[in-house]
Amino acid sequence: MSNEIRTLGQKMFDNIWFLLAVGILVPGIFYFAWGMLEIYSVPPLSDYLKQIGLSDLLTGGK
Amino acid sequence: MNGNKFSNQFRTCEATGLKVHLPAQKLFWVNAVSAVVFLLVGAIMAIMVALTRGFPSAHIITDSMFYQFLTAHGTNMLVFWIVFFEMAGLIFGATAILGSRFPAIKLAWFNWIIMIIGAIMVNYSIFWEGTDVMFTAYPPLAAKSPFFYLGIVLFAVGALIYCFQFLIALVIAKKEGWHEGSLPLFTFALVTAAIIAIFTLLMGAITFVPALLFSLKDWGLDLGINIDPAVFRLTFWGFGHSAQQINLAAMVGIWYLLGTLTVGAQPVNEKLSRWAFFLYIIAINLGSIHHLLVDPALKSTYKIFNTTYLMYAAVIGSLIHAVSIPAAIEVAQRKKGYTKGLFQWLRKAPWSDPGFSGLAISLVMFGFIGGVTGVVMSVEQLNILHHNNLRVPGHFHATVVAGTSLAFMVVAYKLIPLALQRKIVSEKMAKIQPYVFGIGILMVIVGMTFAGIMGVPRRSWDINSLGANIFSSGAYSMLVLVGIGGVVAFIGLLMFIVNAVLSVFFGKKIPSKIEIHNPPYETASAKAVTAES
Amino acid sequence: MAIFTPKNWWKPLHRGEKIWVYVIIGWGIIMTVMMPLGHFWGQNVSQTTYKYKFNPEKGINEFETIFNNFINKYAEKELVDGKVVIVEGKPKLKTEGPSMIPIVDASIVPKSSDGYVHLFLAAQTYRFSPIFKLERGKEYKIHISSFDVQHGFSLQPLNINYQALPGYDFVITMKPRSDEKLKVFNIVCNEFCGSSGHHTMIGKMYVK
Repeated sequence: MSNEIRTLGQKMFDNIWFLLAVGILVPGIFYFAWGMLEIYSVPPLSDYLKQIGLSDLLTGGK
Repeated sequence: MNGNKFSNQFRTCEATGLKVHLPAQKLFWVNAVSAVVFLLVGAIMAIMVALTRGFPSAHIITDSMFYQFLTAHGTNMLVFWIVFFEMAGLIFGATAILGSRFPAIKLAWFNWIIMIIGAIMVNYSIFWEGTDVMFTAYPPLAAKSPFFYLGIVLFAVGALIYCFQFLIALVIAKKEGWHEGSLPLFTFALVTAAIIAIFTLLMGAITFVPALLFSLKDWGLDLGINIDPAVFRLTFWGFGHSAQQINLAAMVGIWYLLGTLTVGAQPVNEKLSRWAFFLYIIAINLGSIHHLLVDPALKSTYKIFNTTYLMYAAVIGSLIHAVSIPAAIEVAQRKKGYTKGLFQWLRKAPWSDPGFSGLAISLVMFGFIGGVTGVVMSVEQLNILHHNNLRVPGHFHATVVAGTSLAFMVVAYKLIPLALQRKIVSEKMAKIQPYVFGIGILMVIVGMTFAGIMGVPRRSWDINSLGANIFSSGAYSMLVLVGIGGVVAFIGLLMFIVNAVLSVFFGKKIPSKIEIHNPPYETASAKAVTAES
Repeated sequence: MAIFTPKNWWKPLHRGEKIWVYVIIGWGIIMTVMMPLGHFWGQNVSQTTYKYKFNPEKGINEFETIFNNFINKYAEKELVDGKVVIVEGKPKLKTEGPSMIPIVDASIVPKSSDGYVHLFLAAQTYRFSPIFKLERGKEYKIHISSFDVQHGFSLQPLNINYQALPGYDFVITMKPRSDEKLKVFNIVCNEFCGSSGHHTMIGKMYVK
């Protein structure tokens, strides 16, 4: 092996598995997981319409 | 496909002194040639679409043909041309740059085969079955048959395996002693691209596998699956935009490579450049949200957090490269003696070398036009004015076409002699091609951007069908600019494709000796290789 | 060189590089802060979303029911000799254009208990329904959704764009400005929704 002094920074950037983990986890959490949470917490329309007094629009046929 | 018999055959490139693994060279060849084939398909689609949008009353093609051709243009360019070329780049970066062997040659060929089958399936679905749902294929809109989704899934699986093979190739290069120490910057850029690609393709799997299962209804297999449109958009853009960031990382790596190959530039500060790539790795995929800024279901906090790419971390990365690369070129030029005044180094740069002119055009257009418009459109409030206008294609033709595709094309002029041992058939045509293509695509970009600002929607066959006086006459003039620019850009594309294909098949061969190299270290994997030869 | 192995490359930056890095990090922070500031200083996008049951294969579309009730209540009726025309048990609606879009005068829609007038706009292949007649200076909550596939809501010539998704009701607070001189606005669809009619898909809004 060469007589190179490898700093911690160099070692971190040389570790491709560390980079892969970071590259998957960070967007995986902030973009994907958080986004899915937002979509699944959308409240239902029927409750909202009842709340504002428009429940008569909910009944009846087509 | 008797790759194992030649597993330790190398040749030394006379120009750079790099050792090239011959089975890897064959893989590089087949991926690069595939890329150009799909570039040609995409290019023909491009000219048809540009002329139809530029001159809508002429009805050059019918409405159903237009939407099919637009779908074909998007998929063949954004997915097949670019990703096949990137696979070639990954193979090159792992082997020639490190002087190493590429492992599992048979697996690499298998990946290529399923990628080709996937690409053919998608094109079949578009041209023979009439799929016209655009590259984005938003449900509930569905492609005409499962072949569309199946093709994309197969392509993505092949590419994903390639990405892991690339990373493992780097590990093997170290373990078997082919390469010691930190990766060269170009290969590090490709590591960035591969990591972004792995996130992209995982998102692609989450998006398209359910869509594929849902579409099996057309073949009589109803699995009772429902695709939620909001979830599809979220996961699709996790795939679709992140795919463009692969292109960005690969393109920046190629810029550094071109700087080295044209003027002998060295990265001014490796730490700074690598930090910029690291910022890409952690932050750049968050930007996919900017496709969803005017979508229902997602709240503003989430949109703002993601659309700033984690507080503009990735933009900071780009701004670092934007200065590092010209700085490296300036330093190299000044070393050569061009020190008069402030800009002699730039004036005396090799502008007739397509590698340099392409680098400059690509960098300036990507940075100033593409990057800036992208960051502007990523503001939640401003996006209301931009979403689904022709301004959006104006932006991404500045990034992925003027930026990435042009950089890929001019690096091909370098790699065809270096990696494929063929002289370029027409150096003259190669000299002017970046300029022709650059001017054409600039006209397309300007036309689309201003037409979009004036309200012209994207993906519309003939805006006159909406009625008279909906859009201003200025908008129509801008569309004419798109049409004319499209013709010029198409000529620029053909100049590259004809030159590249002729060179690869009929260019003068650059001979080199074949040498046998064994892995420096004795490891189990290395033993398997030498035992089979 | 970019293609050769660097050694001991974790080096400090030159002064010029350091200055550039500080500048761009500072600019990044400024741009980041501007977004929430804009949001809280009145430039927010003023929208919320609600979901409803949408399963066209089973014939379930809650939004369509709500929309049809809304139209039956508030759409302008066709009058012949001052009398409402009844066709098949329902009053005949006044329509406009080749797509026969009904018209709703928003001034007859009463305010709901939250103090807003709620209007319902449906994107369908291939039209936007109904045509609203709005008043200057009045704030409305417009519920935008789609009956079938994804559509784009693009208000021209203001170039205001939103995405209409089936299954999701996008409630957007809109107010025609009191100094707005234009009386006719067009709604263009800018999300591909079908090769035979996407480029013809249009709606209108009138401002009195």
